[in-house]
Amino acid sequence: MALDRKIAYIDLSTGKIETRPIPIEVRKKFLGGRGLDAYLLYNHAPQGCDPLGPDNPLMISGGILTATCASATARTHIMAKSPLTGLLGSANMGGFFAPEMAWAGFHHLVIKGKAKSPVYIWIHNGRIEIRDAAYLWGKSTTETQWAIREELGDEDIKSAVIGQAGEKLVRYANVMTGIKNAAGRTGMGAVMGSKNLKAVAVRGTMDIRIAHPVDALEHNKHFIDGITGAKVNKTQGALGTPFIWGATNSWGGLRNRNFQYNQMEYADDIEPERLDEIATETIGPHHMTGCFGCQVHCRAQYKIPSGPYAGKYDEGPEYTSQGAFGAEPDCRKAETVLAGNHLVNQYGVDNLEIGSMIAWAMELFELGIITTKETDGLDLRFGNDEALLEMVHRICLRKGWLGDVLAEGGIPASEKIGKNSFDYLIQVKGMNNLHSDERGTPGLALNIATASRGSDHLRSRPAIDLYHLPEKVMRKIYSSPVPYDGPLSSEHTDYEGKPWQVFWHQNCYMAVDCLGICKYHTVFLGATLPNFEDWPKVIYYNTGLEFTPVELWEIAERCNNLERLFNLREGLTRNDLKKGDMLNHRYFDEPTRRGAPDVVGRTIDRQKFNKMVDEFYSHCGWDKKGVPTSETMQRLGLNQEPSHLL
Amino acid sequence: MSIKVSIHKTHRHLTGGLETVDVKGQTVGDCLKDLIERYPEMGKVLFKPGGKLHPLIEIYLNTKSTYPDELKKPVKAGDEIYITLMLAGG
Repeated sequence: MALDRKIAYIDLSTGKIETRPIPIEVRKKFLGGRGLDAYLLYNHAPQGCDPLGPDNPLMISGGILTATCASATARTHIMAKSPLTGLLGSANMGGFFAPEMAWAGFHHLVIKGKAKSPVYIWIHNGRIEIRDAAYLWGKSTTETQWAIREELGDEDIKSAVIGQAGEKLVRYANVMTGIKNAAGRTGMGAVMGSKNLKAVAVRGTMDIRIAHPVDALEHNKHFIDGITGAKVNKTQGALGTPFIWGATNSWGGLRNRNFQYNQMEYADDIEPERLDEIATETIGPHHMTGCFGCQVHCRAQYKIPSGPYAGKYDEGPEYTSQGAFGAEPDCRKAETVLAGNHLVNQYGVDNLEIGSMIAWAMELFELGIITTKETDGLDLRFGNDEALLEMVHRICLRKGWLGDVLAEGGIPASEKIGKNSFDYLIQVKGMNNLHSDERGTPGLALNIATASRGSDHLRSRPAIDLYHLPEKVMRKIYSSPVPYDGPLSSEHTDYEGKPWQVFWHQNCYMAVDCLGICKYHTVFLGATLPNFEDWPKVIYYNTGLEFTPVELWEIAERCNNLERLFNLREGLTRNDLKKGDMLNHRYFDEPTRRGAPDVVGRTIDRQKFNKMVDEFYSHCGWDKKGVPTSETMQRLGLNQEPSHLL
Repeated sequence: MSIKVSIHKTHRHLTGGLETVDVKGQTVGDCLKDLIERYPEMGKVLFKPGGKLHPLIEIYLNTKSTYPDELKKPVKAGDEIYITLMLAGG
C-alpha cells in the first residue's frame, strides 16, 4: 500500500545505502512530501552547515497520496539548506518522477555526502545503485534524461536531473524532470551539483495497494467533476498559466524594469493569446499537455517560430517566464520569451531568479553602478533582447565577471558590485520575487515577506484575494477547519483580515505539499476548488489513515513551525533585510506609477505592514520576534525536536 | 425588479467609482446588459469581441459561481451579482 513506500539513505561519500520503512507515527505527524522533508532536514542538517558541502542533506520525495487513485498527485518535492539564502531550501515540481519513484518502492530519499566523480542514482523496483555519470556531465537537462534511458534501455525511466547550471553551482540552479518541470526555487540543483550528483533515475512496476479502491475511485470521479467544472481550470487548460497576464498587466500588478514600473507597455506580442497562436501554428491545435493524473493540462508545447533559436522545441512558457524574459527586462518579443524559457529549461536554472537578477543588473547598468567594464562590453540596457539572452548563457556557464557574480545570487552579488546596488535588489531572505508588484495588495506583500523560503507566491499567497469574492464565500473558506470570526475583506487593497488569510493559506499549501498534489487542483486557484474539508476522505480511501480536517490543519501547522525553527536556527531575524521577514524599502518608499486607479500611487504603509506581521505571528503562535512560543511548541509536539526518529 | 451588481475594485473607474450598481433583468445576462448600457466601458472588460464572457471573468450569483452558462442563469429581486476576476496563478 501507499504507506509501505520506504525511505532510503544514500551516502555518496561512502557508497552506503540503507532503506527503512516510514513509521506510521511519523506519517501521522508529518504525512509525507514537504512536511516529512522538513522533519528530515531539521534532524539531519548540522546547524550552520555549508549548503554546498557534503553535510547538507538533500531530500527528494513524493507526497502521501503520490501514485494512488487520487488525481493530480504528480508533485516531487526537494529540500535541503539553500545555497541561495542560507535558510530553508525547498522546491516542488510536476511531471511523472514522484509517481515512478513510488512505484519503484520509495517515497523519500535522503542523500548525503559527495561523490568523488560525477554519478547518478538508479532506483528500480526496490533496488538502488550509484552509477558513473562522467559521460553525462556537461549535458543539458533533456539530453541527460534521454542518455540515461538509452544506457539502461528503457524509455519509461523518469529522471530528476541537473543541467550545466547545477554543475557550475549557480546558486539558483533547478532540479528538473521532463522538458520543463522544474523544482526551481532556492537552488536545489546547485546542491545536487555540489554532491557530483547529475541525476536520480527511477523506474518502478511495484503495485501500490489502495486501502478502499472502490471508494477511492468513486470519490475521485467527483473530484474530477469539480476540477473540470471550474471555469478557472477551463481557462487555464486553454491558455496555461499565462492566462492571467493580460488582466494583471492592465490592472498594474506586474513588475516592469526591475521595480520602476508596475505595468509593461507595448506587451501585445507576449499576451497569452499570441503565445497560444504560436503554439497552434508550430505544434497544432492540441498543444496543451499535463502531468501525471492531471485533468487541467496547463502546459503548452511550442517551437520557437523565428530568431536565432528558431525551430527549438519546448514547453511552457509559464506566466513566470513572461515576467522573467518580458516584463522585468522590458523585452517585448514573443520569440525572446520563448527562447529565454528554452534556455533556462536546458541549463536547469530558476527562471524567476535569473530574470530578476538580469533586470536588477539592467537597472544598475542604466544607473551607472555597473558599466561596460563589468559587462565585458555588453550593452545591458532594458529592452535589449540579445543582451538578456546572452546574460542567461553567461550566468549559467559562469562566463565573464558579471556572469560569475550574478550566479552567486543577489545578496553576494550586491556585496561584490558594491555602491548602493543592494537598494535595488527586490528580494526577501536572499531570494528574488516573482515578477509581481505587491504595492497595491497588502495581503500579497505580507505573503512574500513571511514565506518560509524567501520571496515567493506558492507558500502562503492568498491568491483568491484578488477575485473580489462575495464576503460570505470568503467567510465560509476562511472560517474552516478552525473557527475564525475576525475581520475579512474582499477588497485586495485592504490591510484588515489579511494576516489571517496568509496564515490560512500557509497551512493550506503546506497540507497540499504534504499530500503531493498540484496547487492548481486546490483553493489556490479558485474558491470552488478543494481544500481541508475534501482531503481527509481522499487520504482515508487511498491509505486507510483517518484524519479530521482540523487534524490536517494541525499537521500543516506543525510542519510550518518546523520550517520556521530551521530558519531561526540558521539565522533568521524579523527585520533583517537579508535574512528576515522584511521587504525592500522600495515597497514602502516608491509609489507605483502606472495601472488602474486603485493601484496607481500606492506604497505599502510601513506601520500597517508591521502591524500585519505582528498579527500574522500571533496567528502562527509566534512571539513578536517571530519565534514559536513554548506553548506552540508544546501544542504541536515539537518540544522534543530534533527527535531523530528517521 | 432590482438586482445589485458588485463591481470589482479594478473596474470601478469604469462605473464612476461606484462599488455596486442596481440593475434590472430576468437573467444574469440581462443584468450585465443593463449594466453595460449605463456604463459602456464595462462591456470591454466583461466580454470578448465576439460577445462571449471574458475567460477571466467569473460571475457569482449570491454565493454560487454561475459557471457554466452564466448568462442564462435566472435572477430574482434582491439577488446580488458579483463580478469576480480570476487573477490567481503563476
